[in-house]
Amino acid sequence: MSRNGTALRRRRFLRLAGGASAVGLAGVGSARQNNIVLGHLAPFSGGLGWIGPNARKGVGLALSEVNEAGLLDGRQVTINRQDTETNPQAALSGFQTLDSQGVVAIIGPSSTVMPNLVQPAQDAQLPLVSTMAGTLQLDDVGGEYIWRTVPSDSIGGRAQGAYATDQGWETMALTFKNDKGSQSFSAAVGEFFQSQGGQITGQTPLAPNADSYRSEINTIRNQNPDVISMTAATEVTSLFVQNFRELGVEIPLMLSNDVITPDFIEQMGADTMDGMLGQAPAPGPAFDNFASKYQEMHGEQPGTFSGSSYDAMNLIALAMERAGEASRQAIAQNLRSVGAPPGQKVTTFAEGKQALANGSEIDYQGAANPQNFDENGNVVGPFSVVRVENGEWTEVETFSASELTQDGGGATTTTS
Amino acid sequence: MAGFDPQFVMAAFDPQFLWNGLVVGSIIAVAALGLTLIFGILNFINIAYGDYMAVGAYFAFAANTQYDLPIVVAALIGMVVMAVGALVVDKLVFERFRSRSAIVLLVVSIGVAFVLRNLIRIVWGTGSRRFSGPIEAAPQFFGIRVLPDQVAIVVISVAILGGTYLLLRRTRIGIAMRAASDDTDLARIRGIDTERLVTYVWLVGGAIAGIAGILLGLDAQIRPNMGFTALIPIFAAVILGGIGDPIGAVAGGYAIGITQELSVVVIPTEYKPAIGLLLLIIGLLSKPEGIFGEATR
Repeated sequence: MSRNGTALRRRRFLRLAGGASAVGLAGVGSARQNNIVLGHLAPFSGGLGWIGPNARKGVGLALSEVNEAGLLDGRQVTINRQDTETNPQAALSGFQTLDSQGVVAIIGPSSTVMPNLVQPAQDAQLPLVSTMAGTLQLDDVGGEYIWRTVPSDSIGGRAQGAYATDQGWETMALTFKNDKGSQSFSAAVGEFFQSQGGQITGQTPLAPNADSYRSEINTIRNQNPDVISMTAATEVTSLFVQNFRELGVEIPLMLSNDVITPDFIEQMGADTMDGMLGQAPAPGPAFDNFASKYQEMHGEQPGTFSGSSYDAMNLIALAMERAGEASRQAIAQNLRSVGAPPGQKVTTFAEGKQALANGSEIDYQGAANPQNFDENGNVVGPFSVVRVENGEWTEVETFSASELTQDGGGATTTTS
Repeated sequence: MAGFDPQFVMAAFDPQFLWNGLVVGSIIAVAALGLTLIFGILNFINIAYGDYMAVGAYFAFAANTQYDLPIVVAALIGMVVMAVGALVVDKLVFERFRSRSAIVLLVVSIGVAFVLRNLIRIVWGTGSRRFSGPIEAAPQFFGIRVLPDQVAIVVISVAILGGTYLLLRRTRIGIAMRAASDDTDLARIRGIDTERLVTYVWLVGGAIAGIAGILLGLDAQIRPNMGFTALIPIFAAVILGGIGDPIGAVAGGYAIGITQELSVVVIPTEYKPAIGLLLLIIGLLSKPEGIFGEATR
């Protein structure tokens, strides 16, 4: 989508929103009757500015399908988009803007800013469905107004720990960028590895903006671990990997979610990345169909968090459809029942609307995840461990959701 | 976090740290030399200096990867661009404030720093870049990993330091620079054209900033804020050496680089950046006039 297209749409939206609130103030509800406004709060600039557009395109695909199938007897859904700037303060003001304009639900942002929005969302009784926040800080707070369509980082971290155990590795060094998100992921890896009988040789924090991590890498090498788990975003990881290769370290290296992308391999070079390990949520049950529709609409493959954003939009729409009304309470009370079993399995809004009209319960099967919410609004799903082979992330082993959620249980695995 | 006990493990001494420190120290020493020369003549703290380093590195990067020039040629281009660039920035901005106090100039230089950094972001984006060339395991000598790039950094910095020393000691312009640095008014009374000197000092200081940025980019990565984040150890080196004292700044640079890298033996690595500042505090407490006092100016 071109910049112009976005600007135009935004302008048109502003006009619509302005019109709607003017009408609302005048005490005539007709515009509201026809339009349902949802908020989309995502990083379009700042450190995670690159993932906002992926989310926007995923939401855009679901939006066109919802409006085509017709929500609540053909009412149109529009999206009010706000930029978090990857910054908690900007995210909060974006949230407040959306709240004051009366959106019925918000498709939500990343780990950087989500924890600060939990209390405001609960106070406003405004459902907030994050499509990108894996942070462990959300593990226990959701289920009423806070939801997410991506698994917690603790699940991905467990995949690393489980894979290391399967390889017969007994000792692991943890290293992470010195921030909350990276620490929490690294801790999840370490905890699960220890619960499987592994031993942690040490934890080495990495200062952001450093000019080299050679001393840190030497420190880690001197611990003599069987495997290293390294958690950081792209900037720190790229310098770490460069120094790691320059120092000729031969220990297996597991990397974190942000860098498990084709772009990162291209940036670093296929030879440099050869043999590096990572993990990624295994695609959801409806991924293939989603990917081909996405390709048709946007002319590219889905990016990180495109699928989870598509799912969030569909789930919110289905929750309204099931309740028969567009309100915050209706969405909050119906999200779990449209996402989780029991019910007829559906993969699009149109299928779900049909099934609901026939009086069935539904179980939405997502593009990114089966989307079966637990009591805390979290989803779990299978995770794959991937390895760079010939310049591509290649799946080497997949762990089922149940293997990754049982604590301390002997991990039996399915290899694909 | 039940059952998970964070344990911060420190490193054993390893000659590798000494070599790493020498490389980092070389970069800081070169950068500190340029900064202290500019300070000596112009008498203000140029916060934009770090961004001069980044601009030099980015121009070299562009020449190296976008126009496929060999790294040596690209580095020369980066140096020349930044030498001229420093002069242009002076003519456009600093010259208009020269009669004002050092504080005004310092604040203006913060503004210049922001402008340069964001121009870099506009032109080259916010991500990190590298000079072309593969990432390969470094050959080992006596248990120390030595990258060809690092050898180049150490050699080039020695050459720059030596060249600048000769410039200051053996050429008329260098001697004039030292005189003006010591006492600008007295130098002017003795017939030294201090305005022409200012031109030379920006050219030399800018070129040194450019090459320091390129060396830093060669060792680490090229990022829009690379120079700004490098400023703290550089300032520490300059102050440690005695402000305006080139030899002191170089000594301070090596001292901070080596101490910083060796510090991981005794403290957790995350506190490494604090070492430069710690050394600075110790230096100011024990030798407020700089490592060599007035002697080497």
